[in-house]
Amino acid sequence: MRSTSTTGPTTGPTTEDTPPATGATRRPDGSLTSVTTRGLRKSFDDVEVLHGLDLHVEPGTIVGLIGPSGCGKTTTVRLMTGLLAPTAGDASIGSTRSVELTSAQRSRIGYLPQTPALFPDLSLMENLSFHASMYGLPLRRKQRLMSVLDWVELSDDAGKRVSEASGGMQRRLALAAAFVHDPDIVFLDEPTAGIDPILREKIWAQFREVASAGKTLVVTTQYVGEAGMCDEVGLLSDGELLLVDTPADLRRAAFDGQVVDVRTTRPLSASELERLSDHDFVVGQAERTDVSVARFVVDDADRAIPRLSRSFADLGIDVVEAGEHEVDYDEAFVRVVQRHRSAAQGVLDEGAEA
Amino acid sequence: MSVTEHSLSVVRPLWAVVIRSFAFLRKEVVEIFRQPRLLALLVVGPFALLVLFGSGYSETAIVKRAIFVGPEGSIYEEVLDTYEADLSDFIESQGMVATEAEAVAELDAGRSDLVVIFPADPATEVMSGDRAVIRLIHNEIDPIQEGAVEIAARLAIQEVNATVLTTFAVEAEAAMPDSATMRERLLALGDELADDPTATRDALVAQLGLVDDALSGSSIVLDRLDLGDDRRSDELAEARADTVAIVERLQTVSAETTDAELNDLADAVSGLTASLDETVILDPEVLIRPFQSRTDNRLDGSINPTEYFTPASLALLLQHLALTFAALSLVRYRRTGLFELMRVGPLSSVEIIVGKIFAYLLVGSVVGALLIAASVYGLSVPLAGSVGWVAFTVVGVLLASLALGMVLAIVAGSESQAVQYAMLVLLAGLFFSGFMLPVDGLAAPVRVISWMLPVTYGIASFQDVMLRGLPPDTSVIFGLSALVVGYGAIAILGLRRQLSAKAAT
Repeated sequence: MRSTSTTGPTTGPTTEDTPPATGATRRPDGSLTSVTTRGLRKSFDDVEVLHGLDLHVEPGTIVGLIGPSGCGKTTTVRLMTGLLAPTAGDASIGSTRSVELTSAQRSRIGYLPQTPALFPDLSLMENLSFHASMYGLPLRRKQRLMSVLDWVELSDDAGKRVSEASGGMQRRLALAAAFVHDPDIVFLDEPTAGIDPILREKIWAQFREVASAGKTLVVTTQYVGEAGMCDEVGLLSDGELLLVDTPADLRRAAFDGQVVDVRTTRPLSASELERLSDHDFVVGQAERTDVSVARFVVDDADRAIPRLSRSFADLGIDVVEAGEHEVDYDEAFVRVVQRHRSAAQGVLDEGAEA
Repeated sequence: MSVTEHSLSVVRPLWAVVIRSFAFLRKEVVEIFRQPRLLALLVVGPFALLVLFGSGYSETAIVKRAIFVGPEGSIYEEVLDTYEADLSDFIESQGMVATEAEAVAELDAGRSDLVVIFPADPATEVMSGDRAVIRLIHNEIDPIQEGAVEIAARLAIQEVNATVLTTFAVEAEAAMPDSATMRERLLALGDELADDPTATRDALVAQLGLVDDALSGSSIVLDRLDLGDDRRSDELAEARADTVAIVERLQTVSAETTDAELNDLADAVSGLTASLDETVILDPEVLIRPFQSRTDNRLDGSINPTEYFTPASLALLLQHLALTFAALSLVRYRRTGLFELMRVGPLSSVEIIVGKIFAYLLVGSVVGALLIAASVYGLSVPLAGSVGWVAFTVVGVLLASLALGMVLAIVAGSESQAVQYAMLVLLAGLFFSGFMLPVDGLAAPVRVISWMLPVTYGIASFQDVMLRGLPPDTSVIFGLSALVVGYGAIAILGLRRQLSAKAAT
């Protein structure tokens, strides 16, 4: 995935680097596996909820759109699938604008809406068969249906009615329905919402398996921790795509470098922290995260840790422990959002002063 | 197990349309048949209502209880007593009281439906050239019941009027025997003429006066009826002229009248009596009430209220069933993820509409067939016409109602709105379809609403086919077809608009 946000910071290439929508990543077998958005905007009743989204999803990857409720994830997916028409900009699947997809092209797309389309009085198998019919699969399809149910570990409950199935089973059935026609690209709107962590992990493992089979998945989630399961992650907040990167680089990007924590035998004074921050390999100002723990953002943790240890020794401070801090995704996300909001507020203040 | 295992290719586009439509059909049918309570509600509920109506409805309820007010010992009292059986066709007589206050108290207490106040002294009013007024008092608030009261009272009063007149006439009849008796009397008097000319003269003049009255009354009635029978009129005129001539001659009879003249006069009387046998002198009862009604229904037996209302109820039920199913189902789709899924997927609005309509058509037809069979075999509602036309009506009403339901679903923003729309259409069906009041009674612009309701055609067609044994009117066939096409087109266009990305919000 490559992206820029017109307003937010970005680590990805600019739109100039994005391949042209026309003729984009159409496989030799005619499947549609890439998604491209350019300057995508959407307003409802004159209120803009999506502010110019530029994104390119590579074939065979899992792209996670992560952000809190109301940040624009679902709107983005709906624009990508052609459910909504953009107010400005464009969304394409392969070489075709999403709102102009033909019936045949639509039959190659999978979609899992937030509210699963399941019928309580039908059995799991009958529900799946209904979805298979919607995509025009032939009537001799039992083997296929059973294999998809097996994939989500529901084959033993095929005859059970949905009304008698647990929430987790219903979620897995909805997932099976989105994949029943073996689509090239699948849009999954919060597929793990309200699901216990064990099942979530299982579902993500299934997504990875699907991607390894060459399918493209666009997944929205509120769980920032799920970012690590994606190939690439887009952070959305207040209708803006703040950051797009690989999970590994996401953490680095959030802090503009790697994070090193140093635990000492005594608390550091403000002047000592300032001196330690003066090194050229330290990004910004070091901060205290505990009474005797100092946090440094550095460009390269492996090279910085020995050099920091020496500096501490020069100051006569004993180091108990020094090592790279594995920033979790929640922390990274909060950092990015805060930084974005501060920048936006700064622009506003400057405007007011001017 | 891999998600791509046993993967299948999409079938050809045309076959895919069939598969998709069939998927909706199968889903809807399975869903409905897996809800036994819903099925019971659909079939047993309406049938139970019809049975209750049939067994609970009593025509005697519309016979109004009437209390009469009139002077004690008046002729009205006698008439009411004598002719109570005749009046019972219109009202249930509760007898006569002397004062209006007494009767009104009964009315206010709810023990009577109607007070009929006879004039205290009708003769004076009539003699002064005015018609005697009979007043009616009731306290109905239902306009239909009010009308029924007025009609029943009017008929009853006409009956009383006629009965009073007849009573007078019957009294006169005692003095005016039938033509054979009159002839005998005249002959006897003619024979006595020679013995006691003066006394016999007076008796004969009186008798001939009655004859003249009878001839005159008969002549007036027959002339009014304008039967075009000149011979009878001529005979009556001739008989009257003879009577008048004899009376004139009798006026001249005295002690000096010769035997020859008296014999001649007796022969004239005899001749007159002979001619009376040939002349039409009407019975006093006939003179007062020359007409009576006798109603014959061309149908094989009369239709009772249950039989009359059952076909109309069936049409209304079918419309409501189909309309509610269609409206709620589509609104529910929109509320759930299925609508989104349909918009992202390859489904077209036509496939959705066709699939759903066929599903509900199938279910509705089964329900309709069961209800009609239960009505015919359980309630003995006649099925005089062709079963094929009944089936046509069921399918026509269902299709038009389903299409209308889809239109309502497109307009409705939520399930509760859809239910409200369905209720409005049901109400419109009660008022404008001919279910309660005839459509012809509506003003032309309002009648458009009737034409827009499938139940209007359903009621007309069911009544024609089931009760009259006739095929439905051409207007029914065209009307239902137009509704199916019109509502269907609106539904498809509306759904297509809602499925399109531009309309989505």
